Amino acid sequence: MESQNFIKTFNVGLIVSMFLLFLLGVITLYSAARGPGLYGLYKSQLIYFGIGLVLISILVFIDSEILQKLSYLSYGGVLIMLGLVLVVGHESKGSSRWFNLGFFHLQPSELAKVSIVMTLAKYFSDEKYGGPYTLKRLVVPALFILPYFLLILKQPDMGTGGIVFLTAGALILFVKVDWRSLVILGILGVVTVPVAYQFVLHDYQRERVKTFLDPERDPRDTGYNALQCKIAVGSGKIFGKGYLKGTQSQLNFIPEQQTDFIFSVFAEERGFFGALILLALYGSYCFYSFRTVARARGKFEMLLAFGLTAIMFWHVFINIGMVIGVIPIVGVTLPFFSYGGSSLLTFMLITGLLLNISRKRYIF
Amino acid sequence: MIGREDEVREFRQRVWGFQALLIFFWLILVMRLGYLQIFRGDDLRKFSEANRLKNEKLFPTRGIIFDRNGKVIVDNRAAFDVVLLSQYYKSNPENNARLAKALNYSPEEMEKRLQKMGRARSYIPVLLRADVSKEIIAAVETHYPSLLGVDIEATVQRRYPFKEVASQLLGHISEVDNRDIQQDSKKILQLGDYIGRMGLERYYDSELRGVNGIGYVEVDATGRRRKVEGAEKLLGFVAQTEPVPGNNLYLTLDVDLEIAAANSLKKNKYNGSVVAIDPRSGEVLALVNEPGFEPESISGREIDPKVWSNLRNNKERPLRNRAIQDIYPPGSTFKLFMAIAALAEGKATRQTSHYCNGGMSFGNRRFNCWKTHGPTDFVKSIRESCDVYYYNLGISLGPDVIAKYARLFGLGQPTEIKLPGEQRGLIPDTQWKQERFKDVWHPGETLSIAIGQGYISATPMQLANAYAAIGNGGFLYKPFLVKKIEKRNGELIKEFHPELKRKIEIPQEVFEAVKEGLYQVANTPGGTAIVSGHSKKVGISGKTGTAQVRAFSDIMRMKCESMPTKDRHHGWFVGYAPRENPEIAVAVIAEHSCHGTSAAPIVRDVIEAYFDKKNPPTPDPTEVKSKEDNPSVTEKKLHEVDGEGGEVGQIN
Repeated sequence: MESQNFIKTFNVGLIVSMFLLFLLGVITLYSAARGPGLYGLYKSQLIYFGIGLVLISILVFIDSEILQKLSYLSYGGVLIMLGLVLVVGHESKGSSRWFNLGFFHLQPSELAKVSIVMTLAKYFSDEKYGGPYTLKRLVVPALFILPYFLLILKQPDMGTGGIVFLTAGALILFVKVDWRSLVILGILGVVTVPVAYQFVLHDYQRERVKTFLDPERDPRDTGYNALQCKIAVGSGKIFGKGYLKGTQSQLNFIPEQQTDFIFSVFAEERGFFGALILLALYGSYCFYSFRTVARARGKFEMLLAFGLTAIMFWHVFINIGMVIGVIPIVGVTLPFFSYGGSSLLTFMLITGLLLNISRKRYIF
Repeated sequence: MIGREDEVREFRQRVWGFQALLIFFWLILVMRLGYLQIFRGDDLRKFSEANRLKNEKLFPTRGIIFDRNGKVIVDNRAAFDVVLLSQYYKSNPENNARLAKALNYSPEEMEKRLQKMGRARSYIPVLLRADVSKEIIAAVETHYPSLLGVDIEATVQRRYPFKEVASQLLGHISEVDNRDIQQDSKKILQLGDYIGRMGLERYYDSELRGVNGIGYVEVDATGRRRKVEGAEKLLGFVAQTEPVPGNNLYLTLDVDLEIAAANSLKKNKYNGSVVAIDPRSGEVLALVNEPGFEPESISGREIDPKVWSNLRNNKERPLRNRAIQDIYPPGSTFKLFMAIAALAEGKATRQTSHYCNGGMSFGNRRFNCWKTHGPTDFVKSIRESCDVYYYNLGISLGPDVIAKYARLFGLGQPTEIKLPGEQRGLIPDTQWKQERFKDVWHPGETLSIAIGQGYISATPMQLANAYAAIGNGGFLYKPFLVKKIEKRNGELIKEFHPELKRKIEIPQEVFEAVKEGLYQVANTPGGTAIVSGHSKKVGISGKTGTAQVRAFSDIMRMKCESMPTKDRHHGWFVGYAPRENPEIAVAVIAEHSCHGTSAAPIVRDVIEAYFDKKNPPTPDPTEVKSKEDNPSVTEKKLHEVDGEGGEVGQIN
């Protein structure tokens, strides 16, 4: 009885989407990481995936009551880690993002994305308020978000900071915001952006924005990545150059092609056609997670599922968007594609939580 | 659990709204992808081709030079250079130290190299270290990931396996400079090309150089050339022009004889020159200049400026091809042409005799002989090199007739050997004196000319060639060095045959008479080279000579050996063997050796080496013993037995 239910309730669509995405991802990673010093990265990616599957199987059976109770605790824990990483974190390429645990590079900002979603879901579900939310009622959620956001910006990690901000934003929109407050927030945003551009952003980040607006401005330096990525994607044309035959990637014209820019490798090899299939797969993943949202048993579960979906959505949109020049370049990974244990495990953690929520509909 | 049913419904409706939003965002991505991959796909594909394909010059391999027996005397070997593309290199103390260690450079040297890089345009590879060892290649390759822009280039290095042997004759190569490009009338030279400098490398440069090709080389983002497996398939097309390798030269030179001649000159510790030619054809068998240099040391992509300046500023002039570029007074070797002129003009016969009492007065000067010969006939005058005899011949011939005969044998004019920088020497006559000094010819000058001193000068090549024409009975050939030119695949391009410059129309009896004298020099008691030039293996005919370095007045009454080395006379010996139908003619100038007898053993060594190679000697114990006897005659004793003194004519 129990086992029959298990299969029935299991979100097969979500898990199949994840497997297909990872499969395509690791195949692309093999092609992207053939240069000196990179060879064999796909193997460690496979190992992380195995660890992730174990993580998922554990998460699936955790009671959501426990998750609720863990919410604020995780918030505090991650907050401490975010503070600590600035002091004792591993410095690389001018930013300190990791704890070097020897066997693993722990990025607290990755956990922050999940933690903020859990915390806000807990807060909004506990409030027993149906909205619409006014500015006054959003002060407490803002006080949750801001410390994370600022600490992550301090690292500096624009990409993850943006994801935390946008995910929280989406969640707040989901719980419904009073339209007058929305207008005020909008105006505030328009005023803040130029100020932030001038005083908050680092020089290199300002350069990226300028480059985004005019990529040919400095083709050798800051515009280089953007330009080479566009050439890679465009030169794939409709059907691509074929697996392992992407000259832009095989000849290392694309920096960080195994992590943030791996989509350009895929698009060069597989062309427009392949890119459509990939977008469809991400769409399918999001579709199944939206279904989890719609069928969630309780408000906490619903909000949590929505927030997790938002993380996934923003990652895909921002990553592909920056590679093809729709938005400026920020360091955001492509789920299940980009190389990196922290990133992969985070998305598998998200998948595990979504599977957990989708199971609860019938069992309890 | 969630509270009111309508609230849940409201949330579900919102989910639909957000799904629509997702599709909207996805459409943005799809439209952008469509724009890049479909609308601009062709453009961007071209960009990606241009990105990785670099139009590059493919260097041809330079032609190989063989000796007459097919021995390789100049070829090429693979070499590896470490280069740097500054646009990719990140110069910081860490990288610079790493690079210096890999290249085995001191920090100061590295600093200097990198400064050079700073001045070059960023996309032109700058040479960091040329012709590196396998260890350096390995060290550089291990640092590839961190040292962006550093690359290893395979190149070709010219190789001269016999090192110093025939160095001035072969020449060397080096990279073209701006002046070469300006002077290149055919407009084919480009920076980076190599061009022959000096010698055969220069004279036959257009044959040896080959033709550059053009190829598309795949480069990665750090400018490194890349060999990707199945690159041709990846490229889809490989439009390239293969380089055409240079043509091969086959020389008349015999490298064994060349080495034997060089060793003999070295053994006797003289600077100077040896020229050996085949009197039957004009083929040059050996052409030696001492000291020499190692052409490979100045043929690379990178030449040590110290090595180069040492060679250029060396007072012993190792870069000089003395055999054709230096002129010396021929001294007594010139007497042969006097003798021929006198017989041919009827001013003397074989019986003509003059009495030598150690000198003669002419005008208000006294002209000395180096020895008191007593009664001297024609043959003896050659055998014992009597100056008084030739003073008399000179007086009866006069300068213009002397000049006519000297020129018949090719003196005072280029031999037309195909080598750069040949000197023509000088055979003076009254017209020349008038033009050069606006002065009449003084009869006393004729007496200087008669014994090969004064204004007269010749190159070793000219004298070897003239004596070859005496030996073969009047056939003056143009000496030549290259027998044939072939393409790399063996296809014959050009073949060079003996070229007769002129047949010297003089009765054979004249030749017979002077050849008798020449033979006696080294084979009859009293001959000036009876010890120093005599060979037990083959009858050598030849003539000693002394070329004065300083004017008469300076050396008045001074013994040659007591002068500083730089002022000492040069010793000549020019000869051929065998006596009839000679196969080899050799001229040797031993600089500052004082006597012609110093040069004679070298000629003997070369001639014996030639015949030993032709008829390998059977080991014979007595032969070996007698050979050992020869050097036991001390140098001092040698000069007592034969040879001319240094003191030639003096002011009365």
